[in-house]
Amino acid sequence: MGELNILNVAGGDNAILIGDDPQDKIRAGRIIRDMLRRGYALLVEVERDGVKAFERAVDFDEKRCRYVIADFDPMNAREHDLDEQAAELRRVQEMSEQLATEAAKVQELKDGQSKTSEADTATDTAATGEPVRKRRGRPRRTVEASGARAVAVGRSAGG
Amino acid sequence: MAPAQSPWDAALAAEPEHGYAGLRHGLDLIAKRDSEWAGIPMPMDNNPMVIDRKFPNAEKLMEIGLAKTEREEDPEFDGATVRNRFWSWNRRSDVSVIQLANGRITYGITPGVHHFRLDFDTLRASDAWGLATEARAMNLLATLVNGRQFRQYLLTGMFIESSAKSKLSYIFRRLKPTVAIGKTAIGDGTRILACLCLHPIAYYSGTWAGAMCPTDDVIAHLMLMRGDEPMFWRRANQHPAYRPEAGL
Repeated sequence: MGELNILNVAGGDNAILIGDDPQDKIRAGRIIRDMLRRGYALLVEVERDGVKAFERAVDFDEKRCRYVIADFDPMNAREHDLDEQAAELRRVQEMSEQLATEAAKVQELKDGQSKTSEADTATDTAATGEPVRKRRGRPRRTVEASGARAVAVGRSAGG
Repeated sequence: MAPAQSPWDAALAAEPEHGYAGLRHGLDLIAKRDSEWAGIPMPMDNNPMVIDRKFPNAEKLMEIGLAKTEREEDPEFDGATVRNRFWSWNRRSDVSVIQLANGRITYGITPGVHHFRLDFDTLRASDAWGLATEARAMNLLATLVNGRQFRQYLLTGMFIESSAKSKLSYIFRRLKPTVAIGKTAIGDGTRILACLCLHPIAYYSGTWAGAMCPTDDVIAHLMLMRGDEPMFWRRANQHPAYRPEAGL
């Protein structure tokens, strides 16, 4: 049984229980989607490397009744970006080295190299090819709402 | 002969007759009808509120608290606008530059030596909360923190927790901003980075009081820190340690 505690102003915390009953799930889905639309922060309890932690839900999959969480540590975002930039630089360097090698080989061919060596070169080029680009963006993970615990916090008025 | 009531039971028994209990109950019913999941903040006389601008009817609700404070009690300032506000180290005060309705410019000084005024005004705002609400919040908090932290909270009104992500430590305090503590630049000690003040939905201006009961505010801070620390910092007002609003 999942539980969603909503911090409430007047009546105290409201708890919404999310069971396996389809009606429960539909009702919970509508409430959660509405809360996300209104800017509530939904903190869902997840297990990360065997340790329980809370993650913010960024969306809710109503069809599967699952919280969608950004499975990405925002504190490391800059480090990840820097790593990706360094990898991109390395790829560019490798490509320019390959191009230089190919240019040298083409020059050799022009100078009257054998057909066999030409075929070898073509195979090399196809094998090395353009590096496969990694998909950018945050990988996302989902958590079953009927088995998770979550706390909803309303929009902030500052302080 | 009936056994004598304990002070706790007596306080709880008197709760339905408390001045604002009826209004609180009414607002709760309206909030449920309108699917306001976090409820509707309770307007109180002489306690102006600051409400999240996107909250339905926020402007109208904020008007209610203002009625008897700035408009009726001080007609000189009716229609006045604050042109600027800055901190003066020389006076150790906030200086407000005010333009009156007739165009004249004047100024006001709010001393920033201690935070007694905030403490005192929080007492008045406490009428907005219910005992049962706070009890429910305490029950929820008990399930979110470990035994030692909960004990510390019961005895001192605060507890400490460190963030595994940022390696910062936070002291969560009841009715006071959360203190964020980090290492000094050379790493041989600790220093206060900021005091983070945040109230979900609304708060009573010039007090430590949020529209939610004190422990619910603490839970909101704790959950945001655990779930999305950058968002916690973004959403909170970051008071320097020397300001009275920091509550230190």
